[in-house]
Amino acid sequence: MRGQRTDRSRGTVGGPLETDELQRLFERGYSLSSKRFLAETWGVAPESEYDVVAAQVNKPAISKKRLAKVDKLERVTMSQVAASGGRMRGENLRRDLLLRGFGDTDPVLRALVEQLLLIPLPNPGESELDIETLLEMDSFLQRDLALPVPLKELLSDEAEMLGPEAIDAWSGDIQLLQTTSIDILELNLLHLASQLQQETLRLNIDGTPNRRSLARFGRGISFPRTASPDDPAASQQAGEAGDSLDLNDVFQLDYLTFLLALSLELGFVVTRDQSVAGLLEGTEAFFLADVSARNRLLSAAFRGLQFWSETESLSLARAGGPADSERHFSQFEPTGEPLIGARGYVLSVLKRARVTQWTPVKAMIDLCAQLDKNYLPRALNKVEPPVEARRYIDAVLRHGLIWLGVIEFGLSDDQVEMMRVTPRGAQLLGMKVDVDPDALDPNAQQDGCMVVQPNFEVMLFLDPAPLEVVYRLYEVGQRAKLSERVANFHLSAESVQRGLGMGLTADAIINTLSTYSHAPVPDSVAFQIRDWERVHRKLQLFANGVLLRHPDPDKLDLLLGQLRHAQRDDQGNDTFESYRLGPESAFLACDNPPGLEKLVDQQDGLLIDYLGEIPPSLYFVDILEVMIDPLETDIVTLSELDKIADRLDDSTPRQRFYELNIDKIRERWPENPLKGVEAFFDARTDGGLPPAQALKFRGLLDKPLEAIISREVTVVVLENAQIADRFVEIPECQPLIERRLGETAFAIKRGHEEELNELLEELGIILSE
Amino acid sequence: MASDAKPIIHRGVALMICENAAILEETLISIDLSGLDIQRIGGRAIVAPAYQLQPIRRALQERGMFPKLIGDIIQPDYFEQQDALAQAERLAAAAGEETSESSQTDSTEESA
Repeated sequence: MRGQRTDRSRGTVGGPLETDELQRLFERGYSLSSKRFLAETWGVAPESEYDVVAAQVNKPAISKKRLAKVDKLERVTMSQVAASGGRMRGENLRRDLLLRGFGDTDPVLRALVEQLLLIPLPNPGESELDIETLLEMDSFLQRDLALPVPLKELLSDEAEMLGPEAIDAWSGDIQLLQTTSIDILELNLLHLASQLQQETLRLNIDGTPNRRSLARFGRGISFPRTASPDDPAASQQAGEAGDSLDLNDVFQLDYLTFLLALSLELGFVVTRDQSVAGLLEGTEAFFLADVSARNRLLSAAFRGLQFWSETESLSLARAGGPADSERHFSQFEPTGEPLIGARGYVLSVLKRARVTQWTPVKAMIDLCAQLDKNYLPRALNKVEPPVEARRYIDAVLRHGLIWLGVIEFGLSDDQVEMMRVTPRGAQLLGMKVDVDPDALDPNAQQDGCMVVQPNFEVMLFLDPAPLEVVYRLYEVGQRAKLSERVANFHLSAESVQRGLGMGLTADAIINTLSTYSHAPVPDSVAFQIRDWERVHRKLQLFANGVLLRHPDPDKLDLLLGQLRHAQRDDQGNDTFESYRLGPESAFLACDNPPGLEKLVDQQDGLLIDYLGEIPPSLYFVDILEVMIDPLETDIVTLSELDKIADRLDDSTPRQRFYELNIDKIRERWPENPLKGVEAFFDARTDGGLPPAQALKFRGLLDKPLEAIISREVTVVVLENAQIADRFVEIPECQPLIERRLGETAFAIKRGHEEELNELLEELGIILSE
Repeated sequence: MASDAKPIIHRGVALMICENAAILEETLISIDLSGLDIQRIGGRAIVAPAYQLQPIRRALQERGMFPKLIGDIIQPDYFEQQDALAQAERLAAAAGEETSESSQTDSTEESA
């Protein structure tokens, strides 16, 4: 197959260098030395007139003669310029030659400019251009290079004929190998973010996602497919993973890690300690934005990926082993951070190369490696383990840009691996793309893209549905199924009330469904959504706030006023939010309101912090009898006392008495009641559990305590503990000793006093009374 | 009113507030909160330590109630997480000390 070459004259202005133009350039643009250089090189005297030199350059016979002397690669290079109209920017010529698989052509280009077969032209408005200086400074690629007219004509016909094998492979029948789309990526991101808003993803100690937790999110993900040339149908998206999810498959785990890392950069999720949770604000901002804004956000997020590395991803895929690279999958390890610069470089090369037509992958890698030879090695020098530039480019193309949906891979019918930028990918890269006037506006309202059924199922056709509608359905529904390009959502009390909790109203939900539904929303569905809203309004939860209490309602009002004042900003704006729960109590919907600490200090207030240490509030007034001030006692202690004690009748509003109930204590801590009760009272009694109470608990909950009273006892006290230890080791002593009393004394059995005296005398111990 | 009366501030508290007292009664009858430490405040609210909000939510959800939630949830294993964090910090600090000690030893040896 010989491919049909497309016109690659991008950036070219004008055609070959004609005699008149050259003569004008001699007069204004070139220096005299440039004219002399051109004259000598093209075979006329250096001092010849402008018109003579210009005419010489454009003589067909001379051009033919000079052309016969160039080598094949030089001829191909000139053909490329001829095919582009006879004039090209040096950088573009070099880039196109790279893309066509010619590799590094710098020496060839230099040789052609030195021979002035490619003539560097002055920039518009420039005068006194010195071609030799240009060569010395190696800056000729930043100029337009033009062929004389005869050379262009001689080469035009063979432009299509010349070139290495790579030329032959860049068009024709291409079999798609790997493809996904940005639309599918966005749907996956939306699904993941939506799930993470409802349930956090647990992380292991090393930061890797907990497999069981991840599996719950992974089942709804649509993984990119790799098709084999023998099975073209497999390249199509077959819907969500469902039961085929296998987190031991390195590819699936890797893709999920990629989605997580991208979600983190996009602000859809946040890592908190050992979990990843969804964020409503970031998700909403993205999915309600128009396509161009989303493209920009996706591009920036991909460049800035910190917690996923394309090089490690490619290594894992090629190793083919189990997914056991903890570092790569860890949400604590910024493995992708050192690659941010390199990633941006490859994206910018892709943008400049504008490869919207099929191009050999190898040529693209050559282009990225050659376009700025020094940048990539420099950008990659901090990466550990070291990665070579070409390998990095390979990784970012295969594991990153394909998953992002920016490029797709294919195979030519002569088995050359090809790639091209997808239409949406071109927009994401910031290329100027011609807008198809017949194409659907992705932001436009597409009525009839869903069907709302009486059984609360919503069938959504993804292709015509704007992303905002998909997002709205995720807010109020649970995606039950995704097959091909149809998603089924189920509306339930939970999902709709979740949407209401996000700030939606029943009318807004019904309005969205009505606008996009193919048929009117069934009355039963509309009625139920309104009823769910009624139930939803009945209750409200505050996750973490402050309960402020004071026995004097007027004083409480003053304190609330003080806190309100402390929260006021410089402009006098008031964001203070409090709820009066009763005459003595108010709730502040803020976990640490400004001015609270000051208020505690000034008013000698009692601060009970449930996320810190609880102050003691309990007093023992008798054996197994306690007293509390209910207002100053924390909720947990109050609740526990009701579980382990009986309230006594002589209680007052500020003094409540309880008699501890041993049966209830056993019931409350069935495993180890003694340990439970000791821990409870130790923490809540000033100075810890009193010893008398501790003994009482031990006697009642463990075993009855015993004591012996000994009368008329003989006690022998030795000089120190060491002597006492030796004494007790003497075999004759042991039958005499009743028990040891402390370190140095022993009680002697009654009736053995005589034997003791004899033994002491024998040991030479002097007795004293 | 007693002259020594002072304010009592409970921090780290979760609140469930209902539209009216009847709804609170109805809700408390329909859900099982027996294992939790809750306290009724006034006619239409209950409070609990913030780390006990999740079980309350779960109990409500089991009855088909998904109320609006304001603020970030404190997980029930908050104290275990804090302990683990403190332990990790202690270990990191100990490792840091060891490293600085060994580097000091190295530099002493070098200067010797």
